[in-house]
Amino acid sequence: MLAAGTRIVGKWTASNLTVERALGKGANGEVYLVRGPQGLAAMKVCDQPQDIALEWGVLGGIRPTPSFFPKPILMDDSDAPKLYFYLMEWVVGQPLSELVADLKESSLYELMSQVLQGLEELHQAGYAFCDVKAQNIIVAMKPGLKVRFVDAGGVTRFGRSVRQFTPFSDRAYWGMGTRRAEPSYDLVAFALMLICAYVIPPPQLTQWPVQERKRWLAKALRGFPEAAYIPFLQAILSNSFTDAASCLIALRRTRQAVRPAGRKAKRQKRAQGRDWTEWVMWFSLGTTAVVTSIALGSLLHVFG
Amino acid sequence: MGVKELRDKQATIRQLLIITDGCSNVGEDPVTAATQARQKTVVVNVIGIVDKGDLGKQGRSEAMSIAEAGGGMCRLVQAADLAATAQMMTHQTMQMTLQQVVNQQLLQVVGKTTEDLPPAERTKVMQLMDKLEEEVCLELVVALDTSASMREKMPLVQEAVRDLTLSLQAREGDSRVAVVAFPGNHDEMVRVVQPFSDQLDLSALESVWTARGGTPTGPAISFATRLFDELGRPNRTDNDEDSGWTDVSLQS
Repeated sequence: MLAAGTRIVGKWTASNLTVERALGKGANGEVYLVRGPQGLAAMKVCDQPQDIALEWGVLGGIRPTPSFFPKPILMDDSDAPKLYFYLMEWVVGQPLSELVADLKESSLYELMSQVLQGLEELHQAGYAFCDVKAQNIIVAMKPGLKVRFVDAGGVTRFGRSVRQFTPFSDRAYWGMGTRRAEPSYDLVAFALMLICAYVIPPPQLTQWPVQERKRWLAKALRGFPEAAYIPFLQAILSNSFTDAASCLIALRRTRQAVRPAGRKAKRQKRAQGRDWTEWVMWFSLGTTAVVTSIALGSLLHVFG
Repeated sequence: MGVKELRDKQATIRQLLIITDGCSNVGEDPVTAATQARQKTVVVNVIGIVDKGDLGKQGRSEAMSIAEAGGGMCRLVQAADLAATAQMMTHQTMQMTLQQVVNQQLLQVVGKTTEDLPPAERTKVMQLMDKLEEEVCLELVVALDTSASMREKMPLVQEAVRDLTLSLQAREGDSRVAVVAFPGNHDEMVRVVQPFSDQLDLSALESVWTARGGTPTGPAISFATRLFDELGRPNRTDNDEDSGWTDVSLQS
């Protein structure tokens, strides 16, 4: 771990950097917030120079550049301390794992929709994310909900085998498909991520046979808090979608079924109308009663 | 600067993965056997399971010596981490083997290793190596310790082998996996659970059960080395004995 205040001089770019604080730990290295000549940036440090080189190749080499991943700034080494690193845009927000429990249905929909858009963009370039999990999805809530991806270490060209994965978001671990980089690999991971964000898998799951893992998952899916999305998630898990775009269309349809915007507005209007009629009714009844009692009173007064 | 192309013809990486929780006590010396395996271009990796076993101080140091003699890696882990460790070791040793070859070639051609290259050039070399790792032919023998103390860990061992095979099947290059158990049934020291195949026979794997007898790690290593020989292609030329790698050339 690098302490705050550590100064780093890039061997090849002569950049002067100062470590501000640690941001997190990835599968193969650490990420720090550093101050450099162009202000604050995130610095990924790996023990293995090949990991730095390959991740840099993903962030800076894929065309068109995937906008959901941090923008690459520079790659360098330092001799003291001995480091292999690259600098990238600092993505501000909270990991999906930390905020998903508090999301309203509308925010959840927006979040799912953006993640799928990000996947679609990456898939268009011929690559799969291969490490779609709640810790790698960063969400900013202000000014509006905005989703970004971090940790490009797993990004793999379509057709190749997936090397960096997390068991709970790996469809092969759940006995639901191959470990090959293709759009459906990411989509299944997307559904697994959402289900496991609400119901955390027990650690001993790994020791269970595949059939029992599937049973656990089916139960977790039945308990998904937004019940309307259960059939949609189920369809993803059975590898029904071959690309993120068609998955996105299915998501929009599901949403329309949940909240039929037009009809709902009409129903509300009618409800308000009924309220008003009721008010008029009680008002007239009340008035009648008052008028009647006054009349009755004066009558009695006259005769009395 | 021109590291442009890695040419690859029938290149094969051979690995032996030993999963054990004890110390060898039958037959030949495992470190000698591992040295001989390495001479036949087989990289030997060892995973020592530390929980509830008899992998004492002696077992740990033996595991490390075997890996060192076999040019591979040694990891001491809990049984629950077996699957992830087996994946990681197979991947890293393939990477290591390729890197040795590429570094050797780079030194010959430009007098530099990959680490001496400027980062942008390094990325290109690493991307080529990554592609090569995906496409190269892999031959892997998994040798499972089936002595009595392994009984409780067997489900996790089977799961690790199944999981590793899932990853290997997804590769673009050919992968052939064989599984052997030591000790075998009755009097045999080593038993073939599954001969070299690109598919894993799950029922064969489930039939692996603990046996009576000692821990013949040395004989298992020699046995596995012979399995590679039997698989060997007649037209193969072994010109680079230390790297576990044949017939690769790097053009500048």
